[in-house]
Amino acid sequence: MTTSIQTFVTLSAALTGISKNVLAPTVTNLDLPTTYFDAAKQKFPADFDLLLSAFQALIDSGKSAEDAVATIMENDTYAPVAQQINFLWYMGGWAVVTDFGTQTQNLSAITYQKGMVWQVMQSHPMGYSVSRYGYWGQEPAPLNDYIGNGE
Amino acid sequence: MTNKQYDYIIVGSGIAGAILANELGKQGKEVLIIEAGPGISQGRNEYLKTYFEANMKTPCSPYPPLITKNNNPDTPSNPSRQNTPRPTIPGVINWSDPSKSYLTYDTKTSRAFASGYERIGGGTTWHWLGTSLRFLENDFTMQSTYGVEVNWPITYNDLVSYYARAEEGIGVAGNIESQEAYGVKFPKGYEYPMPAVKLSMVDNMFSSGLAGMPPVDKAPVFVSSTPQGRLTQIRQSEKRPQCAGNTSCIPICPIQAKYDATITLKEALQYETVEIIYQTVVTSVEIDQTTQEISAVNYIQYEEKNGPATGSGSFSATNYILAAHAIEIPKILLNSPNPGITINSKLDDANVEKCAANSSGLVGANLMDHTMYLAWGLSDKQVFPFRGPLSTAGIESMRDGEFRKERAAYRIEIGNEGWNWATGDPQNTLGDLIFGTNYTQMNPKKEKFFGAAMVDKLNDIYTRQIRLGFLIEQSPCPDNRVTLSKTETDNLGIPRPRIQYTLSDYTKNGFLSAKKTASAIFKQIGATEYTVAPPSTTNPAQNGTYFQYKNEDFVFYGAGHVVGTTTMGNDPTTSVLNSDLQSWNHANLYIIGSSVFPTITTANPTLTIAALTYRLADHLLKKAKA
Repeated sequence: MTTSIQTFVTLSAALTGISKNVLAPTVTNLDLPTTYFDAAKQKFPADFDLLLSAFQALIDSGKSAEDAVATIMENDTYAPVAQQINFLWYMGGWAVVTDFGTQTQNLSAITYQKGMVWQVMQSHPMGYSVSRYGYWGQEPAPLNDYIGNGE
Repeated sequence: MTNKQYDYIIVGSGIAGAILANELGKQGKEVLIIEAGPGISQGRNEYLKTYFEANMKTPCSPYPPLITKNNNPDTPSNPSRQNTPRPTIPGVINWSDPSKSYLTYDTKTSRAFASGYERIGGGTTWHWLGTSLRFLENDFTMQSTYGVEVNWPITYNDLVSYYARAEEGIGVAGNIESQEAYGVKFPKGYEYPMPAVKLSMVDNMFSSGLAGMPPVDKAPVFVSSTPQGRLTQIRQSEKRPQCAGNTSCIPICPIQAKYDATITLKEALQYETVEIIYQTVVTSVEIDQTTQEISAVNYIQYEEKNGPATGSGSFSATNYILAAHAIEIPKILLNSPNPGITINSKLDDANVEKCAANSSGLVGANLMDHTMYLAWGLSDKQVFPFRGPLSTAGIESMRDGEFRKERAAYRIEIGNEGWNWATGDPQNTLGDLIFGTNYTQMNPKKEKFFGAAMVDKLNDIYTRQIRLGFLIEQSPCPDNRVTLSKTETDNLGIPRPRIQYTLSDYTKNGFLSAKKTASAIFKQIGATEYTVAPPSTTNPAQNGTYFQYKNEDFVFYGAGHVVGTTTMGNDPTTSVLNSDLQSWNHANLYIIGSSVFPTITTANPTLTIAALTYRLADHLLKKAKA
């Protein structure tokens, strides 16, 4: 992982509230952080780099990732980019906010399935479950099993 | 192939066409199935990928031809450029624009028809929910029992053995006691082929919460498990898996635990005498003007999806069965001139189209759907929706009663998919919290959330979302009908449907009752209701399905239950088919599917389509022997 992708993952974890080891698991053949990093760079060619530098500067000044993100979200230039990155992790696509709700522009079939929105509801993507018959009659595993414990 | 004389030509390879071909093939009959859409060989993985990628995950979204251009919900595909267009949700949203909606309308007099179907091998069972309820005895006798609507020419008892065959064929998982509790009658000792599907946490919350609830609007309120066509056990005869609760039955079961007609179609095609031809669109029937028998069906073929026509011709058989669903069937009949027909109609004879099967003037008439009322809220406890099949239980106890003299009855489907249908979740609640909007009413202060606070809020909302869907019976009305557009065609030059469609006061009274019942139920279980009808009266997407009644605002949704248009009856002046599903005008023309239903009743139609198909197969085989 390059430094900037590490920064991106730290930022993403604080933005989404999901643990780094869930966003960027070490054992996987799917590199979502790089996919999303590249996609964000393409969508926000100027502001994305500025956002990452600003976030890294806040970290370097001794702020926690959570405090750094809170500062970023106060900034009118960075906040819209950060919101889109947050949505991307959750839905696997970019948001189009309209007067009648939010539409998603999926990046791919895979990113749809990897959306964190299914984790935060303690479920699975609609159309892709690895659970077995009847699981829906019982409570799911605790939330932290889905979103990690902050690591 | 073209010169062969078949015993039977079946138009359409959905559940009706597939079952019929299978039953006729078993007896060695020469059968040709003609399917407008592509075959079933690749299918599921390709459709599943399209579904995952789709930005608008509506019932038709996985299937060809694609419902939008460039996967953009704002640019629906142009039906005049498609070979097998069909009604879709983008079409409903853009109902007034014939370049975006397959169905065309006079928007001043009509409402939008809110349901769609598929034109592919296996038909609409690709995206059906699997609900396999029987109709009730009184559903068949609405006129004689309650003085409203019409009677069927057959009764529940005429169908009871065929229901059993349909349940066996589909492999219905169900529980007899839960059905008997609200009035379904089974033969002594009868069992469903498989044990009922396990109830969800959502179902169990409703079930215990409604215990002891007093009747609402003169009907008792309690939960019944839903008989459904999905495997709860491995069946010896099949290689399909148990349901794994992928929560995408509509639009597609990724593992085929849910029955669909491709299963029966494959079985039928194993008989040497059963053939199928795909990408062949039947345009009309030819009628011998001396005998008034059907002499051929005419078709147009294409090779490339949405490519040009590559051939045309006709096929002949001894008997013809149209099984192409309730909008495509009248299209074929209305496109078949029949100058020699003798009109004998209750309508004004001068206005009756001289076309196939239309002596009554009712081809295309009595178009119906279950118009749906949706209600949604947050449970006071976590019930973990978005898990399991989309629905596993319902409230069936309100399907019948004296109140049907005054208002439409309904069944209530309990959703296991949170607010997925109601508000388009999960994306809309997420969007509201991230971007500080309040479309779902979950962010009234329009705050912008992120991090741990957002996780907590999302988890709290999603895990308590509940939704009820009321399937309100729509009364048959001859003015609600399918005709042919005089100006709009598809890519093959075939005239597209023109729809006239409104809701009767009887049906609207059902909406008033549904609204009252929904609120009473949410109160009883301690839930907070968030139903808004509509999310906004100014939402242009709901322009075609919005109505006001007795100072209340409503939006109706489609159930995908396309019914009527070639109804069966005892009187040739008020029906298109006799009780054997034979045309009153053409001795060798039969129609099968939900288009033959005289009324829509209060249950999902597929099981009854299947039962009627087994009954038709028996009739045809008996007739062949005679």
